[in-house]
Amino acid sequence: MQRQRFSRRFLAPVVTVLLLMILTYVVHDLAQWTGHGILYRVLCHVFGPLFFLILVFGAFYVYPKAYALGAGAGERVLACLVGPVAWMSKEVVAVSRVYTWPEALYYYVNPVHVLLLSALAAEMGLCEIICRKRWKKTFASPPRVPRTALMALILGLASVAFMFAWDFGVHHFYLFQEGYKAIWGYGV
Amino acid sequence: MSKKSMSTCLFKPMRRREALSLIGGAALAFSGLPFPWSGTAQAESSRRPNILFILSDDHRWDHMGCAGHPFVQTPHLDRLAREGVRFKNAFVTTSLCSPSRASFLTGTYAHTHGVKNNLTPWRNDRTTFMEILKQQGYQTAFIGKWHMPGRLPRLRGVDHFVTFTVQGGQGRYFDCPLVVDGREEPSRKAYITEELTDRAIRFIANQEKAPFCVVLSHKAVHHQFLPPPDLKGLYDNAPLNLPPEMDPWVSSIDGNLFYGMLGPVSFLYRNYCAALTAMDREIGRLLRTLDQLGITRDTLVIYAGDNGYFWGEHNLVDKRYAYEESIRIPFIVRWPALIRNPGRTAPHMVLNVDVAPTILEATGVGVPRFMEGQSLLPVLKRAQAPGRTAWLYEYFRDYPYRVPPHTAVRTRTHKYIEFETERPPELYDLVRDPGERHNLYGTPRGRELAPRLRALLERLRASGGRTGD
Repeated sequence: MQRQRFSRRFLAPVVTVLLLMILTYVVHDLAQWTGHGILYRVLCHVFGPLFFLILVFGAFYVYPKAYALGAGAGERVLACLVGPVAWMSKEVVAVSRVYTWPEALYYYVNPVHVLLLSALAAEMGLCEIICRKRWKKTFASPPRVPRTALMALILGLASVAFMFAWDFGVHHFYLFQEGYKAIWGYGV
Repeated sequence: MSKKSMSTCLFKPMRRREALSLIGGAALAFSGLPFPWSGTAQAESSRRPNILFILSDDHRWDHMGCAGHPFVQTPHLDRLAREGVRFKNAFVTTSLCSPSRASFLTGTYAHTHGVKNNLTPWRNDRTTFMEILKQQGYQTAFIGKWHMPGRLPRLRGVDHFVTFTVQGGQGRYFDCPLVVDGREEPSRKAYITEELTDRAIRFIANQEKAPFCVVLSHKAVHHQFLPPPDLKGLYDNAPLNLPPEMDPWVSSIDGNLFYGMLGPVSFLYRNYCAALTAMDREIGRLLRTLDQLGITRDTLVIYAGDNGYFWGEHNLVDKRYAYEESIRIPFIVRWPALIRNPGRTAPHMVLNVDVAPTILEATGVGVPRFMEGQSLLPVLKRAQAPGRTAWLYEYFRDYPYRVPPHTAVRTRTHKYIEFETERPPELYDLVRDPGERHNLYGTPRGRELAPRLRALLERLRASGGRTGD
């Protein structure tokens, strides 16, 4: 398979996931306009978890797709990050409505974001390993599993496991707050 | 006392009094007679009541059988209400754990005691009602959740200080390591609510001469809302009747993740209710101890929550906002020696800052001038006693939570909220719209009401919350 043009190998998978994220988010967010009946609940129950699944596991679509269309390693990683970083940025903007911009920017390193990025790292590592095996005859890339992919998988999984094992991220949250206090004091 | 709960008292060598208590308890179980000795032991202190202040965490005001909840079982809180006075309009001045706790202890607003959010540390130069009672000869104990930012203080006037520091001071429901008078100790009981109750019972049973003041500050029913194993699934089949506007995933979306509640709301809510029933059971054990010691009549028991809780109202979870679900708390006072017509419900608007003045006046100590609350003794004595007509609510920034800082005035009929951000003010008619669904601000009716309420809010801000009524 040949290396496709940029719009196909990078933009197409990214935009697909991004559009799905926007669609599910907007439907979930606007569901209340249908009133507070059964339709509202059904929409919430379907589109709420769906958004979450696309946000967290969208890389399982983006990465192999980009790989198959000839995207380079940097492009594949970047493509997987676009959706989650867009969501994180939306959150930061929401925080900026209550706090100053520097405080809002600090929100980027909150434990939920760290958890999400850790999961993404593991997913991309896993995808790389699977893709290499799946397309080893098609591509000239070496069949050996690259060390970076293996490291991403192991470190990502370890980070996720550690966060859950250490009181479900509670301590990470307090470390995050300690960092805030070190910079801004008590915030009042 | 049940066989199971009795066994919980047997984890250390007993003193004479404890042994007598145990024997007496058994005698009581068989004969139905009061202890022959315990009443006399406490009679010496009957002029000054014992104080038992039970503070729960995130317990909504309407989640009690006596408040009309359709399925949550709270027989022991219901008993307290039957034997005392339940305040159906009780509120906190700041709906957040640390500020509210400091207000209960000091009788002052957050802007005065300084614990404005869950980050600002407790200043140990603040005077608590426990310190004042200690000066009056009381034996004092603080047992349970302290959860004020900063290092654990050496609390002045507290003889026995049991708390925990894990999870930022929130503690854990199971196997929570404790800090007992400055030393770390493992929990003897697996479940934190039982452990704290055991320790309160032991402290109370050990007091022979002086009156006691115990603050029992439960972790329950804060998240992660974990009930003990035997009550798990207690409400699995209960019809929940959660608000129609509630998004079933609201606890897991966006910034709400920081409220620590991953999962659908209905699952979390059932656990919340079961953890609440577990706490009620422990309160029952404590009340039975008072009965067995013969000191029920001379013990002022106050039960309160540290703030309310949203379970989907306004499509919110957690607390903080000035809406009713967040600022209302359960509040029951029992003192048989004083309350002549128990079992009544008081409509007066009472606040968390009223607890300290009430306790001090009940014990015959004057209310210090620095306290901003009012004693509730007049209301306890007389149902027709006047109450306050308006009060100040305040919420400060608490990073990273996205609730804008705001202040509000709540009267008996209306509420007016001003935010420190660009969010426009809100005004509600609480009589016609108790659920606060229709913001009147900007409407013709709102334009009529707003100037008077805004002026009232300004006045309250200027006076630091003192209403003068």
